[in-house]
Amino acid sequence: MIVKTERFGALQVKEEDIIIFPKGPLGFEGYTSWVLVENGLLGWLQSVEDEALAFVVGNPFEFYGDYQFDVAENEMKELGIKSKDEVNVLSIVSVPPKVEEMTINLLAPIVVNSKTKQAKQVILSNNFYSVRHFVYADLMSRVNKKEAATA
Amino acid sequence: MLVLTRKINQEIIIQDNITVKILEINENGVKIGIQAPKAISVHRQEVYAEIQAENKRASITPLKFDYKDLIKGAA
Repeated sequence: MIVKTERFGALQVKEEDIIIFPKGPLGFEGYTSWVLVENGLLGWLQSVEDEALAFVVGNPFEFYGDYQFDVAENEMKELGIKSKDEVNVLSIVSVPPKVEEMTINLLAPIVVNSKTKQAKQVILSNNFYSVRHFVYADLMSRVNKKEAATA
Repeated sequence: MLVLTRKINQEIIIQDNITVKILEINENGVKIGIQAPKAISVHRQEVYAEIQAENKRASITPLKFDYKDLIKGAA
């Protein structure tokens, strides 16, 4: 199918690659269909229903090596997840006008069943993580390392 | 909305397995104890509001943002 987007033009997407949020991300409850546009360390989660709506997303484990959480049993059931290998985690990144102040949301990660593409933004019950962790310096150092490795 | 009055140490039971108990009352607030099965998620309303607000904030990322441009800019 073709997904029209403001940022990427018309995207050719396979039906089975559409990520389904039965409830939508928090605050975006009506938006249930999304596409992951990969772009290295940070990608985009693009709405299928609204061509202007997209989130910058990253793999939290890339940036916070000791990041960890348990997916609650009911959420595993809800998403039809049977084993760890079927879990894909994305964290939403906020990019304010001052890019150096970009932050990643570790309190409410998006858990995706990598087989069925069912997804949910979950809320962690622990007190270690917040919705804003600075990520710019880490991102830059990682990018430079990768650049150096490929140069 | 169901509205009812409870005193200290009195409880409310929801769906047979969720218990809400009033533990302490003072002028600053009410302390509540909630016992629920693991499958029931319990969060402060402010946490939801905070995440919704953060998602809204994240959704207004500039149209042309690409972190790879930052590297070129830095070089």
